[in-house]
Amino acid sequence: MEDPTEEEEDQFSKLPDPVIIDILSLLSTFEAVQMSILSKRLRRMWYSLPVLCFHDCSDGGFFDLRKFNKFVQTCLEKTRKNDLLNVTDTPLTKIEFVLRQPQKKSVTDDLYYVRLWRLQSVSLPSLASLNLERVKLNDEALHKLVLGSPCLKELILDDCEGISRPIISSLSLKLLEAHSEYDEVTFHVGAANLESFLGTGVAAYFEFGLSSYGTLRELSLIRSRFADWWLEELFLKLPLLERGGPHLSRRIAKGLQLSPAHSQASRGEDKYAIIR
Amino acid sequence: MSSSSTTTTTTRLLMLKASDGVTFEVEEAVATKLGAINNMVEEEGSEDLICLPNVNGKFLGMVLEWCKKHANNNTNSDKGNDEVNKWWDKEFVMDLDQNTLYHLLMAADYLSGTELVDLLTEKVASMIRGKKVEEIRETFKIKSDFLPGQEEEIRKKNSWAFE
Repeated sequence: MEDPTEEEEDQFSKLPDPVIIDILSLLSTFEAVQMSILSKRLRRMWYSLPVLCFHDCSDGGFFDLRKFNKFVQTCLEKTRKNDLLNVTDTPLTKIEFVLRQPQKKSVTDDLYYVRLWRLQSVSLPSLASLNLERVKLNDEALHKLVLGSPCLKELILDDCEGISRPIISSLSLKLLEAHSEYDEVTFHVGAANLESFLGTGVAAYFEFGLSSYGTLRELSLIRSRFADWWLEELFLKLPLLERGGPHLSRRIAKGLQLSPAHSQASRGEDKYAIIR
Repeated sequence: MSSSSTTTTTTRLLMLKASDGVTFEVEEAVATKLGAINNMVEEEGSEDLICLPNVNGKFLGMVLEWCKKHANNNTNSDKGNDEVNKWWDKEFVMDLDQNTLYHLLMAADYLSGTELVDLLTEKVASMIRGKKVEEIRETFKIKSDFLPGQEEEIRKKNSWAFE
């Protein structure tokens, strides 16, 4: 403003550390690490980011798988987050693994972070968001991850390999998205404070346990298989979704979105109108 | 201030004075979108004039414009309004030049306008995504303070990241 040469100045580097950390936290870990070559100050900034975000693809296509694995492993080692699952003061707020490229099982097994799931105990006191896409894990590991994350607000599980009857039990969880297209998975959900739920894929089934979901405002089941009785039972647990007549009329629910794949319902599909 | 704060529901007005002396008269509900001002109002109670020596009038005006837009929908938080605000936000940051972006971000950070900081940091992140290191350096005019050859050495040592 006062200085006419300001336009040419490096204003990025004048931002305070917390703001730069905010910015880097919005990038993938790969992008954040790339920034480290820009200046001495940025050199080690990525070490202290509260986010781990690994995608095996970028705008330019897939990363070389072996290099990608090496990258993930080195990042975890360097930031000492390789023992993140049994360290109690890990300030991680977000973990994201998005694997899109076709992988051979043998390669996946070697992945360093797959071994993470095998640790004894998990404690991620600040973790608010967990997004796993096509990551190989198992029921027990997922259960432990969720139990060890008392602040978890957002959980996205997209076609994860190796799970069959996972228990998702959390009082902090607000948003849950579960997707399974190939392997049959029955998600046992026990999250009494859930506000939004999205279930998709013909291989995903859901059990909502006994508790009532008094805060659930949005429910979407897309390309899901379910029976009428299942839906009827579900509605009993969802007081916020207004229930209309016995035939699930158009007025049944505000915030409900259904689009069954091959509904096992016998009364036709047209009644599952999308109501917003 | 001689005027005592009223206990009725009439909206209270605050005067905000920027570093260059420019003053803004805004509703309390608008100004308290900023955490720092909210704290001052709560602490100082009846004080109606707030001096902000770290923020220039031009940028304070923009920050307040954002606050005004986002204060209204507290009472009316339906989905349609959310969408409208998202569009508005998008327009708000779309054509910001780097100088303005920098000063807005500094002002928003100083005034603890968390949501506005989120919006602006996301804008900066979007300017980084998908770019090569040299393009990022060029975009933000970040000068390398490494010794000659040091950068090359770092690249070599960290081939796991830079190959």
